[in-house]
Amino acid sequence: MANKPKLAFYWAASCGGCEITITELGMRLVDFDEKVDIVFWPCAMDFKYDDVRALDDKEIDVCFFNGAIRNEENEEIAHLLRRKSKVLVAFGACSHLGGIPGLANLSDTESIIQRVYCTTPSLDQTRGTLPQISCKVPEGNICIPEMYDHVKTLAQIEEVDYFMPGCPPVVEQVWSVLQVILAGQLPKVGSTIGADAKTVCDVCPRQKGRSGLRIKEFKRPHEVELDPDTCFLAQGIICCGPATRAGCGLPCISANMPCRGCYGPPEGVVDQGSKLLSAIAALIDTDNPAELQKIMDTIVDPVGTFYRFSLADSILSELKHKRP
Amino acid sequence: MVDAARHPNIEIRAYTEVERVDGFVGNFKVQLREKAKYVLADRCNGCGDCAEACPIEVPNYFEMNLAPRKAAYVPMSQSVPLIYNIDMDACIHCYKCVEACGKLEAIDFAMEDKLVWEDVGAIIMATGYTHFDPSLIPEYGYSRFPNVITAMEMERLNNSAGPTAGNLIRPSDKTNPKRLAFINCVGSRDKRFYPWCSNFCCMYSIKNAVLLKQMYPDCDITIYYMDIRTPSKGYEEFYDRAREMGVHFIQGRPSLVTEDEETHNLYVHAEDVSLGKVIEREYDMVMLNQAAIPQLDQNVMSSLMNISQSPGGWFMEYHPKLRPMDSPTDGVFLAGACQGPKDIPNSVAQGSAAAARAGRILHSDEWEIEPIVAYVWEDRCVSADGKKCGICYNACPYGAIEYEQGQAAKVITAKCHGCGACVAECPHNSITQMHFTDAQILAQIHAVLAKRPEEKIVAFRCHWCSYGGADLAGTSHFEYTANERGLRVMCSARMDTDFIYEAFRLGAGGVLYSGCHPQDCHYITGQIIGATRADRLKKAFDRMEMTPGRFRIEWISAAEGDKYARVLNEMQDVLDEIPKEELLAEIEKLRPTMEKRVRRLRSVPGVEAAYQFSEKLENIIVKEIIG
Amino acid sequence: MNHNPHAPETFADRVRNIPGGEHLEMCYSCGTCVSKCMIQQKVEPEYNPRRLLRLVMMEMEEEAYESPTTWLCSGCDLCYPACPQEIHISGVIGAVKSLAVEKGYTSPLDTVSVDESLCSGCAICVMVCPYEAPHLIEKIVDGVNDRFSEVDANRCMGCGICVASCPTGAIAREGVSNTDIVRQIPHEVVKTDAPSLMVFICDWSLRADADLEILESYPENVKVIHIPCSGRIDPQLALLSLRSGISGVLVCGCKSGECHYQRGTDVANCKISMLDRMFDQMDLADGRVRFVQIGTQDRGRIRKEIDQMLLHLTSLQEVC
Repeated sequence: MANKPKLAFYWAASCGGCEITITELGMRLVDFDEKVDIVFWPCAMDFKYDDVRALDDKEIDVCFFNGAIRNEENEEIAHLLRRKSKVLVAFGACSHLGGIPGLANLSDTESIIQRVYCTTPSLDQTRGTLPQISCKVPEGNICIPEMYDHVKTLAQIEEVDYFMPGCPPVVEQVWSVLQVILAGQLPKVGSTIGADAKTVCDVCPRQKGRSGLRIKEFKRPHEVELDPDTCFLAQGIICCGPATRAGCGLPCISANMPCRGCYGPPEGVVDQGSKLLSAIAALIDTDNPAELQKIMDTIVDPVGTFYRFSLADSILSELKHKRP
Repeated sequence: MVDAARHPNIEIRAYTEVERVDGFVGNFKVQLREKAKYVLADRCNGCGDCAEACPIEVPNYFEMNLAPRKAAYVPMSQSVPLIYNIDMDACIHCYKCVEACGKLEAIDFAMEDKLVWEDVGAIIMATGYTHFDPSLIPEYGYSRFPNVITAMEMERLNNSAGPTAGNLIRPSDKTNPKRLAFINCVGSRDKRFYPWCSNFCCMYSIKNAVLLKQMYPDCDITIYYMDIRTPSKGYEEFYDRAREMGVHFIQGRPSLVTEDEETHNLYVHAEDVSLGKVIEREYDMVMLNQAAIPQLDQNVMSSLMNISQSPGGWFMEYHPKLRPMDSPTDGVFLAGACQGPKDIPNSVAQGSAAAARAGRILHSDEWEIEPIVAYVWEDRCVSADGKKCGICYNACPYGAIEYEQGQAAKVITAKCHGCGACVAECPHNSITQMHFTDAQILAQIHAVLAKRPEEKIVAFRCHWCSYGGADLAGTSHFEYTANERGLRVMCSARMDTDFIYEAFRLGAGGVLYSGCHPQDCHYITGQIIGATRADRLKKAFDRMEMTPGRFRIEWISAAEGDKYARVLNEMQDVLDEIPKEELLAEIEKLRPTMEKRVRRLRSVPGVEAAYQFSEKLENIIVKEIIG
Repeated sequence: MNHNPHAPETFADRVRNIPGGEHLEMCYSCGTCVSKCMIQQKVEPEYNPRRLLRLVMMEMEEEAYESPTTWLCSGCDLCYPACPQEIHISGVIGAVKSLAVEKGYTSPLDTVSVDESLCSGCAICVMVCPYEAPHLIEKIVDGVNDRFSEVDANRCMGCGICVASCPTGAIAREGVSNTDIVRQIPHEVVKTDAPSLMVFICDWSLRADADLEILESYPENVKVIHIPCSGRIDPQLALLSLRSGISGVLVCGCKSGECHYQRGTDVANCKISMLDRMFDQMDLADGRVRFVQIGTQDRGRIRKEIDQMLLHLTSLQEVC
């Protein structure tokens, strides 16, 4: 029992999809459980933070951390798990790049709270109650963790050993990573695991664009009948494939939907969104400023489109939140 | 000018425009609009007190808008006649001028334009030219960079009577420029604007350079040119003199002029073609030698006088070599740059020649014309029966036909040039042309198609171009089919549809409809009338499902002998392609249709006789000569 | 015009028969094209379109193929609207070039090449190239059929539009690669009172030598990175500059329609406009990144633009 590697799973700001991926391992998980010792998995098992605190430093062999850093609690546990783990894996798009929660960096905390608690149309809010960090009740003070003004990736607050991309990481990749861990064959620290080196286009079977094919209007997938055999960009649909790491097994592409970029940038790319922008903007064909404005209007939400999963990890976000 | 004003036989009608021209050679009636000057010509003594008193200043067009003039003004101090004029668009009606004029009482604000008719025997057009607007070439920066000026502005700036009293200054800072660049061919020899050489710009840019060198010996003048053209007497020597004086000549058309925003100095970018190197040189001032172009209202004048225009818009001469001062309309002559860019000696020569030509008319009681004029059979004209027609009136390129419903159309013989457009266009065969009557032409058609017509190609040629083309083909020994049978008329406008139908009715294998290229037509718009008709015929034959190529329309100039031969050979190839029985069957099949179309021909005076004669002729040719 | 159909086809005939080559004989050697073009001035003193046309007319075939003019013309067509004879000069040069390629001559230009270990065959380069130089090829690698981009070196003009648009950095040429440019961006800039400015300048956008001197006259706080074409700009480069602490980024290119590489300046405009929209969404749009198009006649404009930008950045700093 003592020789079995100790694993921990944790979710910070995330939807839980990454956890579901692990349960999707199904019966394999049962076999796997015999080979390892899961010491912390709040989603599935009844451990408390204090149980982790009670562990020796570096006692956990590998910790899979999913979810972005949204609040005090996320950060605190991230530091705790780092201290207790030999290997910390940023698991899934949110901890890797900020993921969908990272899009919150488009606005500030105050307007998010306003929206959620006051102005959402479906809200029946008559009392104007807003969440408070601490609140006095007869029994004493109750506190909730403070929400940060912007979402961070795990790597922005702690040293991360490996990154495992995906929203969520696909089951087969998870399984193979687990095998690698069991075999003790983990690659160089800092690598991305459970994904390919090249981009989605490398494995995408679609017919690619030809010389001189340029774009006069961007369309959204629901606006056109999509040819299942032709490159999305060649059809005027923004696809994040060119600047997104492969390894997902193309579930979106096979369902005739463009890549949304969840596996993050390929090797060597610092800022996924701006790189994607550089590629796609070069396809626009116009020399007329008014027409350009019109074409750009067909991209409804540029930041959300190009940085769908990587905004928290972007220079753009950094510039915004570094401001004095 | 002053001499002209003093001459007893010359009357100058200044500030007057031609509104309408009626009549014909020797008998023109011209309507003139004497524009109101608001100054009485017989009272004004040209003292200029009114101008002095006038408080209004507007840009002076004569000074290229570089200086002001008053609302009471003369265009220039040497104006003839020296009568002041009040510019009503600028006048504020303060009447200070009236006060200043005093007892002379020459100013009359109640004056109105007057329309008068004058009888004249001949008209000379000497309306000149205008300048290309160089701001249309943005790369030279005219109108954006203050120190880029035109040649005409330069003329005023270095003229001792000009706004600066001859002191050449540059507009940006009023200093004397030390380095000047002249750019030739601005808008001319440029397919984007005007393809022609403007003729005199080389010389005046050299003239300006020499003048400035004399006045300011230390100034540096560069002339950028593509070719320096000095073809007249003494011109090349003058060019040599400029070079000896130290004027720089750089062969190379500048592609760009840029400006330093602070100093307003200019940089001319050009390739020095002799060096093969791009050079960028700094100048204080740049002068652009703009293209000479037709007056902006040249079209209006051209329709007023009923004289045609060359492709570039200049008035067209009767013949470029032999009658360069005559317009195509008898009694109207051309002098100077209205006919094409010309320098002063050439303009003077042409003006004198035109005057002499006009003098011939004024001195003769009779005027001889070609005898090939049109003639209306009044009894056949439907207008005489009160029907509405006027087709002949619209067809005539010379306005030589008078038409009024209820009366037979009338040809003004003196104005008729004998193109035959009206003759062919008349749907009732009511007009004939002397020496080219329907009967005469039909007799020729019958004669050439007397035997084995299906092998023959009848080629209708116009006198001026395609006939000359055929001639050239012969004299050049270009081989072409021996089955061609050429028939000459004066213009493609005379090629009546009846002739073509008749030729096919008689079983002709092919028919060629040929004439001048549109811009070359000797009869102004004759070719256009012919071409429209030919296109209509082509469509009719297509509907009849005639083999394509049996009827062919080609515009062949007198210089295109090779084309004439080629076209005929191609037509022969078409005929050779069709098996003989099929061709004969097609001719037979179409014959009733053709028959129907020409059935009215026999009622035309002389045609019946011509047919009988041609039958006789046929008998002689076929039976007696060929046997 | 050759009136004799039996005469053997000459070199000039062959050039004329290629679409674009038709107008050859109309040239009367005025030199407008030579001085409108900036290649002679900036790259190759022997470059001279007028003379190339002459070489063809005079049947000097070898000389025409070896002439740098044949290879250096990028088809920007700055000369075409200026030509008084309305000759489509780049068309004629293109015709000579295609004959030269047929004869086995190759381009002397420094062209881009593809690193197949990085290329994922997305075909972005194929679509963005103004010259149809890259195309996809299929190759079996480790038993798997894989697609890569391959560049026709005789077509590539070296503008770098593909380099900027390649999402994986697989396509590059020396001096223009991502690393070559990123190396020139300082790692960290110490904040001072004077704002700092990064100027990415397309070398074709400054016609006069005097303008280049202006660019060099600025002190340390104005950093200049030369790029072959404004189309080479990658928004990531602008972001990296800002991240390093530089206060603003000015991208300079030619006026639309005057771009040396046909569409480079339009591409740059699209990129910077789009980046601007993103800034706007992030509430960062304060004019820190600007794209300016400098026309052929805009002598001295570079000074105005830089000064204006510095002034603007100073006012931004004061607000902070």
